[in-house]
Amino acid sequence: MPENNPYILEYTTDGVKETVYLGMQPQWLLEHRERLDRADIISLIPKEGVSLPPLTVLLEKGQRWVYFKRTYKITEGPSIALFCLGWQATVEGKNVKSLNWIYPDGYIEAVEEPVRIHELLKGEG
Amino acid sequence: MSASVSLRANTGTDAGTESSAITGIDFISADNATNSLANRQANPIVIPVTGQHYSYEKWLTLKIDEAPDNEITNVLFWGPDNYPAGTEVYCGVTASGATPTEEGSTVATSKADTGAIETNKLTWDTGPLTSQGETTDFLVLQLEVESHASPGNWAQHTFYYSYDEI
Repeated sequence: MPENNPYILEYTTDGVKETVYLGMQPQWLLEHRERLDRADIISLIPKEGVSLPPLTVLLEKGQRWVYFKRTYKITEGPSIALFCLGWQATVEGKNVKSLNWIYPDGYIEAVEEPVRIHELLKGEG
Repeated sequence: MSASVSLRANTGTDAGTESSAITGIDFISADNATNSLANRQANPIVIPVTGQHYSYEKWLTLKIDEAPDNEITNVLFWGPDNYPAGTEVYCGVTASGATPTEEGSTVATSKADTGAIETNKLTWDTGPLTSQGETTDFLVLQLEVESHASPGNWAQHTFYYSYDEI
């Protein structure tokens, strides 16, 4: 199991749970987008043997799912990947977000843009 | 699969010669993709008596070596917020290749110490990038040296990039 794909993405739409094995299902968004767009629960579940926390987000009406992996790279150094799960919504014409960033050591930041990553990139974290 | 991305330097006519994967660049008076002390010593930038001298532009791309599950978007670049006295790094992005120059760049026109920093990252490419072998737009960097710069090696500076993948 590739170390850089530690999570399974689970979501529930119309009471039916769907599973995406991240990193193992090329083009999975094509198949899942329509149901994912209507999901009311979305989770990142660590694959077997992975010591990362699970994270579940409940989506209320009008909230749209947000999921992606962000990779940070130092030109001469290692890369660090964070997983982002949350929601966004348009409220009174403004885009509002609630995002959770999961670090490789399991630390979670609930902020719009990750902060601790910059300490890690500088070797200070 | 999970995406794998590498940094490339693009040299020569229309920045059309792509290097193998690199981890560093030299700001020098030559158009090459080498990153070594010998390269820097062989191709120094002379401190001007007045005005400015420039390094050759560095034309950089990120190349997808292994495709993402779906797509890569939101490619960002940033670096230090200050450089040694008498030096300045300029940056810019373009989709079209041009031959690197050691005249003042017409692409790298933003000061990197304000336009490509942790709190104001430079958008390198919005994407989406989907396929193996695909490359980002060109990130162009150029070092400017002024008359009051100190002679000798420029200390190593660290640059960063990030990208989102789904």
